[in-house]
Amino acid sequence: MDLKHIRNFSIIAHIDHGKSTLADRIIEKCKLVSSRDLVDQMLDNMDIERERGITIKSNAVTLNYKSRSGEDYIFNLIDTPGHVDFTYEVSRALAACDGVILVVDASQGVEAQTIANLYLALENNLEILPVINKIDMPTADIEGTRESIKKILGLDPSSAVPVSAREGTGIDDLMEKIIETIPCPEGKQDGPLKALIFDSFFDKYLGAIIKVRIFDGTVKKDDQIMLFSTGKKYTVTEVGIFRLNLEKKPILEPGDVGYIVAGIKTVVDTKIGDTVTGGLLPADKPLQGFKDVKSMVFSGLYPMYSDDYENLKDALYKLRLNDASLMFEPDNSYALGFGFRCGYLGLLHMEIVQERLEREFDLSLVTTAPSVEYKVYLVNGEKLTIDNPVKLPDPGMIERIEEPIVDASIITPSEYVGNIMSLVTDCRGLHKGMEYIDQNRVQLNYELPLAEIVFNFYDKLKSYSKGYASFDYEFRDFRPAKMVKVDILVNAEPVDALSFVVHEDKAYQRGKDIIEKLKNIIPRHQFKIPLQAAVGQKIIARENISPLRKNVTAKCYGGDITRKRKLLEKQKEGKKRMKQIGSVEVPQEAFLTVLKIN
Amino acid sequence: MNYGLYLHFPFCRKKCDYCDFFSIPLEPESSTVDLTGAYLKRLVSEIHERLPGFSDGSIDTIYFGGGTPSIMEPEDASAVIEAIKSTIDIHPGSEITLEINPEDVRREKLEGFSDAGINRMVLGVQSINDRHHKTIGRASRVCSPQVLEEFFGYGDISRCIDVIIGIPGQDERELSDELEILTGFRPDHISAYMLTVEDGTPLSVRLDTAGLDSFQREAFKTAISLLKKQGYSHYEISNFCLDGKFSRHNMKYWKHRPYIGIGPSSHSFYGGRRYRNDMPLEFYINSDKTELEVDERTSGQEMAEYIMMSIRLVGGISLNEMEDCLGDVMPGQCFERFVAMKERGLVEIINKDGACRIRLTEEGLFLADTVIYDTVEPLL
Repeated sequence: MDLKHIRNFSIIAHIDHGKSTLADRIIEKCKLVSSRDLVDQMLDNMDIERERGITIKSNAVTLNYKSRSGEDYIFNLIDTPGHVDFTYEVSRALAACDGVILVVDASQGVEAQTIANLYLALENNLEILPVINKIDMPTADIEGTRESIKKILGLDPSSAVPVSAREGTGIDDLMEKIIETIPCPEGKQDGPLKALIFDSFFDKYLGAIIKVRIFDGTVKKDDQIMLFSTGKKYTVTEVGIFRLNLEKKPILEPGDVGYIVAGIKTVVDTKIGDTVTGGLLPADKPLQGFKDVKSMVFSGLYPMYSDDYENLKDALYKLRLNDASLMFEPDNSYALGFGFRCGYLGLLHMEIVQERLEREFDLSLVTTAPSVEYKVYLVNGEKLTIDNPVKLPDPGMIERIEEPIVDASIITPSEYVGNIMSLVTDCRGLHKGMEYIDQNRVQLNYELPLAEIVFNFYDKLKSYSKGYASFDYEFRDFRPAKMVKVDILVNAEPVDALSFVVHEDKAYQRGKDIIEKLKNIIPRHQFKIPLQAAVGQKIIARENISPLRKNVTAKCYGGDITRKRKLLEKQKEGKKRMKQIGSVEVPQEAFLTVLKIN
Repeated sequence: MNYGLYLHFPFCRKKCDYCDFFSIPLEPESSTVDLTGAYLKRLVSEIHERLPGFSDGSIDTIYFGGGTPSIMEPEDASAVIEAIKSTIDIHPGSEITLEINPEDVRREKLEGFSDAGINRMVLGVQSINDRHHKTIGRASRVCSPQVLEEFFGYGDISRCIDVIIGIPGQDERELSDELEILTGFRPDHISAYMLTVEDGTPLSVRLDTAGLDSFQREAFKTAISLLKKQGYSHYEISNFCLDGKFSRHNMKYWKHRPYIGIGPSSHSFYGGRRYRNDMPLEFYINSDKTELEVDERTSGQEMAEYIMMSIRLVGGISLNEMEDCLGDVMPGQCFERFVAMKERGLVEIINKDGACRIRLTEEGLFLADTVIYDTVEPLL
């Protein structure tokens, strides 16, 4: 296929504006699957994606389309996530494209991630085709949406295609518009291979499979390839494209989006953003890759059963092959034993990583409270970067602590502005500006400590705005803040995994809340268990768990001894899920409560 | 081999709020003759079906439990006992027990049961105070002085009582008074159970159990010291008796001895295996073959059961006896747990004449479940 008949594009949108449904319609138009095999969210393969109705991973598919003029085209469509946590995933997908479809919901209008995604596309110099979706909804406001496409996004409103992905309206026009608007790829057939790795995944039988966009040159079976960043060489065993499953092809050519299998076993070698080039005839320069991903949120991840450490390690490596944004390093907690300190893009990312580890690798995990990264300046002039509260030095050694601040943008119907302002003020936000983006909606701009966002901000924002506010943020800088570490002591022993860093004004309340929760979670023991929250040596909150005074089955006959034994066996199973802190048994739940205080 | 025989009578006039045992309320009583009749017929057929299989031994304890077995007419009890006699030897001097409710304490009925061969009756007193009866939702009527006099006035049998202690609202004085009155009748045997609030019972819904454990601990202490003062020996966590008149039938459960259970939701233990009858009542009545579920135990599970049951005896576990019974010695990791319990003051380990005995201390009695779990854990 000549390059003029290839279109590589991605669909970007705010979460829930209908990306995946639109992708389903486009796939349907290209008759990739018979209607019998159609399922919703065709490109979302993971159970988690289908259950939550969200896209986490980018997914690619090659489609054949016959235009109205009768010409055959190849569309390489890449579906992308919409949640703020996965911006990085979107930017990778965009690097493999020549243009994007920017979907805007006709009732919701432009939202925070619509704008964030637009910027990503502009940074990548991509052509943008706006689409107004959900025009079948009674609340749809097509003209108003056109207006904000012009006013907020600065795009030509007359180019916007109105569609209903749900009902299939307007899709034919959209298909033609894709050919017209999205530029065809450019590239040289001859010369050294240059292919961009935009994703990779692990297959039990084939090893690491890399997803590439070919910019120059070709690649086929038995070719020698080299990965630019490591200089390691491999022999290609298979190339192909993405249909619903992998489809073998004799060769991949410029403009193609496909996969390469080359017996790559070490997962760490397939670095996302790296360039694949010829092993015999390498290119002299790699393609422009991606910025290294930056973790925003950190937490400890420990196996519930200590003999699962190796399994957890193995699972994390495998997961990282599919998720380059997941960072981890070995960590050791006094309370929880051997585990890992992990870095995530955000809270949703953290949740999803944990869920995938438990589901796909059958692990039971204990997670510690999420933390952000702090810059700590010591009196002796040293400077530390700390993402684990446990590692925060003694207050006496600290000259100052700086915390990460983000630029946050919140778009909300104007009636919730008051609510949101008080929420943001409570979260130590600095008001930067407010702008009416249309008659009813306002964009609020804040500088906000990331630590506050990590602590339930998103949930609160949703409840303060009845679900209407949307939110996006970007790292800005580090600023001094009066942060303190709160230690939790169980039976006078500090439990490192429960420590957290918080602004000093909030230390007392949060310490008290946690102690109260723990009181209900830790079972009574034969002795009194004091629970304390402390900042340095100072106790800021205290509770006691009273001792168990009586624990005896009064009536023990009737001959059903099997049942009684089985109760003991069940108790033993339950105990395996307890962590021993000194002489106190603490249920796994306790470590999660710190995450869930309102 | 001497077997204990348990006969289950799964009917009550009305269900008590604290009960989580299998029993079916019979209301009104007039409509129940058919059901209980059919049931008793089936019980006799199970006796004929199963007991001949135990011809290697004889029966030395029989226990009519429930439910409320005293709803039976004495003739019914007699028919059941005759059926047993016709299939297996009943040891002379066997203990034959019937649980009886206050409603059934009538001279003729007591005589009838006694004539049928019953020589030990356990009266379900629970509390003689109407207020406490109401608190726990006891369906049966309160034992009036007349009932007590009638029961204890009947001389030919061993008379025993069940009481419930640690009922919220029952203060120490009330409890002592109640026990004083009851011990005044000199029952041979007293089971004093702390009220247990079982999940899923009506009682669990309405009773606030906060602080109940401290309260019950005190009630239990009061009961133990009072009953001891009255000459009763405390031989099992909840059981007290005069002059060695312990429950021989229940002793089989505590001491890992064989027993045969007849009726639905009854349990059996013989030949190293445990069995249960899980048949639904209707199904049982209309079938002619009794189907039993078998529980095959590992040797670790078997020892766990032995310890779990026999540690409840105030005399404790004799390690020699256990070895004789199970053919196995206590593994070191299990014994170490007992040593740790000793350090916590919950058990005593007594070495005397080359024999070793482990028993609960008074503190250990209050925390028996903790001791049991911790010590048998390595065996599970």
